[in-house]
Amino acid sequence: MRRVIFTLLHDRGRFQLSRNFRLQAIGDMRWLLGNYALPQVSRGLDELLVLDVTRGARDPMAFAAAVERIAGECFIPVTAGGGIASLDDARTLLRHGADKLLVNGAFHTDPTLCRSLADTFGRQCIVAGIDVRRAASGYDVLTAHGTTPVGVPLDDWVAHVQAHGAGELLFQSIDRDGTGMGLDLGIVDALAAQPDAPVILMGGVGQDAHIVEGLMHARVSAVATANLLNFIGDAFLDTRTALAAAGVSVARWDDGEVVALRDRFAEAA
Amino acid sequence: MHVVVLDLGTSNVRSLSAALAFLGARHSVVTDPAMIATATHVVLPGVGAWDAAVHALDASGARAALAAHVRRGRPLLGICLGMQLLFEASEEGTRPGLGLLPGRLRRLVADAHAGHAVPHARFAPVHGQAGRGLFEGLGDAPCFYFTHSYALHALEDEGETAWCHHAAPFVAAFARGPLCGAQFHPEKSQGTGLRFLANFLARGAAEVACAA
Amino acid sequence: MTAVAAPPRTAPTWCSHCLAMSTRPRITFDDRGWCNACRWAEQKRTLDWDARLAELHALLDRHRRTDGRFDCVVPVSGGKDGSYVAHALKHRFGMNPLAVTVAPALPLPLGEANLRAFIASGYDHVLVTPDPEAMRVLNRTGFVEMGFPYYGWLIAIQAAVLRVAAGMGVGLVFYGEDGEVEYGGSTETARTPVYGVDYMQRVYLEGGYERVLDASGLPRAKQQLFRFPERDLLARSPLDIAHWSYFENWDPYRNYLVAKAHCGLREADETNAGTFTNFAQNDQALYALHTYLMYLKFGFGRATQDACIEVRRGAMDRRQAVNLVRLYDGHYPEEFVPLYLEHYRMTQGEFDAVLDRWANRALFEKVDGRWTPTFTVT
Repeated sequence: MRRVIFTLLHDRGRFQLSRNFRLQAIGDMRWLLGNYALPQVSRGLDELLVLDVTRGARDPMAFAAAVERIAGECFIPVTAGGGIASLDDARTLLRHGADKLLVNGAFHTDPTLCRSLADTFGRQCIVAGIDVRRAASGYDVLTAHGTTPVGVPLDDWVAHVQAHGAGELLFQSIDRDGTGMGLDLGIVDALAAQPDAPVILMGGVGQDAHIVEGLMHARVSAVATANLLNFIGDAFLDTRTALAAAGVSVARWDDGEVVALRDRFAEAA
Repeated sequence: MHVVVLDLGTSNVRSLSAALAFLGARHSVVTDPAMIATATHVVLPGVGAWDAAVHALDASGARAALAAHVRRGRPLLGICLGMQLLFEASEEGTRPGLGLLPGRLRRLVADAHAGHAVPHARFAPVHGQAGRGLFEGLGDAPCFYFTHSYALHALEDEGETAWCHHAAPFVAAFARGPLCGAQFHPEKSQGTGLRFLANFLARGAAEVACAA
Repeated sequence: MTAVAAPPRTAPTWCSHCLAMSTRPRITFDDRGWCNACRWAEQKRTLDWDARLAELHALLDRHRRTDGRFDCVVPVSGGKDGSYVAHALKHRFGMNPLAVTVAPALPLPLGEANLRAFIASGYDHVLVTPDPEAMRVLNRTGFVEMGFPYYGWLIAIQAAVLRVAAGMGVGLVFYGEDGEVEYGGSTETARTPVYGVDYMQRVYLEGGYERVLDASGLPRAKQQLFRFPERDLLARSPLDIAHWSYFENWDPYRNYLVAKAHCGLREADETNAGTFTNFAQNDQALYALHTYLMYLKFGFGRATQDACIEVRRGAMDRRQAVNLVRLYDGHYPEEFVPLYLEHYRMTQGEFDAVLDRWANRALFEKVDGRWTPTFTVT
């Protein structure tokens, strides 16, 4: 079964839309929860990904609090990350509701840390964020919000992150980011071999058809979208229907179940 | 009802606690295994590496407490690594598990071309116990969230066993009297997972009543 | 697909493909319920753009100068559209463009920065600043008499730009998009490359040009930059006026990407009021009032316009657009009201009274002092 992941980009209390890695502040937590009723909308999602995309001075505790708030709204896996630079950073996020960690820059600046994260929390807990941009031939990998080339070819980088603990691989297209022009499937086609680790593709989703197209590609395990505007309301539930109609294997869960279970054991004290 | 969640420090117990709270189940998250004696139900979550988790079990002295709880016929649910720890050993590490059931965990085999990635990280349908026992009220192939690299591929005396398919079938969940396990994360599996947890909690109460 | 006239004005309807509203002047719908802008977007996909490009080359060849003199004028604001056209003329077609800006009455810092960045990226530029009091009076008159809050500027970006072109002996002026064709209105120029001053006055200034100039009370000497070039000037210095969108498939998002990459365009940090984008119309404060009045008159505002563009370029579907329009459209620009009151020399009461004058009672009712739609976008 394939997955749909909703990504939330957090910058000092406000959620962002990103276009080619340039940010536009859309709204705060109240805006987010007001426009996305997560308890309902999450029935159309497999996972959430919450990223700290602050360019300036980080506030890890404020970010962790935001993760906690979001995680508390639904019962699906939550991945959190952005700027993880120590075991403590990781522990803080896991204690605040994250199930998995997204690690990007540390694979470049401190790969030993990445190994430790995997050893401590388990490889399945580590998602490697890999940001790519089309080059003259193939793709360049960049970190630090698309500013710093890692300096090795894409396949070598994929091998590097897997060797240092990555359990999943999240490829994000800088070119397509925020454009609504569809995912860059060329990225997964460019990989010399299908990695053993699951592949998540992100960047360019505007409408359902883009998600369907992504999940129909043999090499793609999950599609992530950070398009905060286009899925307002319960649009992700419609996405689910569109996927099923297109014959993509995705999980479905019964409607109405959850409400009936609330406080089921309250008198059993 | 008093559900004790044993926190070995190797998992995110928040979600489990939130799920139990949603269901209205009175529960405590503890690190001291002595609390297990007061429990009507015990849940053993677990995420991470086998050896580190076994070490934590031993360091806290939980082995004996858990065995005693099971001997009393009280329900125990192991989740993910917590389920794996109920068995004897794992390819992942060298330390012995709780050994409450015979069996050895093996690494999942990757078959990227067929879409079987390792770690196995996705929602997947579970078969074999449609609408029964721990799966009561859930349809033919309810979908749960898995995230693991090791699994149990065979179980003696199958009884109430549910299966999931990766490159080869593996045990997704089982029940042996009070002893239950789920390789998936019910606290991360939408309403389906909440129903599974509710079934576990309900199952225990009847047995406790019988025992009393 | 046959074009049918818009339905009688009972309840408003919307294009079945985008969200263009039946209330828009000169809109038509075909038997699928598609508006003329969507039909045009459809036609553009199979249009023979090579033929159009050949026409562009022919037009440019007629005007291109090799003696170093300017051979075309491009009105710019520092925003994505003018920057794109200027860049194309200079770097793809080897022309020598002169960029011309008419200073808006209430400029925004980001807009000024974008204009400076555009010029710095390598263009000759003329800034035309009409007498601020004349601009103010014309804006105010336009606001009150026609519900066009920056009418003075709207006149000047045509009249003054053409006057600069004629005055400098440049015979070719390129505007960007033909709004009527691209966004659903008259299709007269859909198949005409080059036109004249008369058409501009008739269609683009909603026919109120003379009326507003007369009602303004401005002496003739103050109206120079708001008057189109005189016949004798045009006879000495004839003008070919064209819209870039005739020759190349107009794509506002593509323009944004090019302007961002080559002309130093920066977006706002936050969403622009009344819409969900941050990369368009960042140059002047009166734009928010202009789109608010459009909303009051016709029921659609900036968010609807932007959503239609996104739907037509395939970046979102109609259902998503409905959500965004319901969320963002029709924003009363309170953050700019103090600026507006100062500009128009009005009190809040007088200002709201003008808005009241233009609110379409078939579409809105006043609730708690704010005009609230009686329709739901569907």
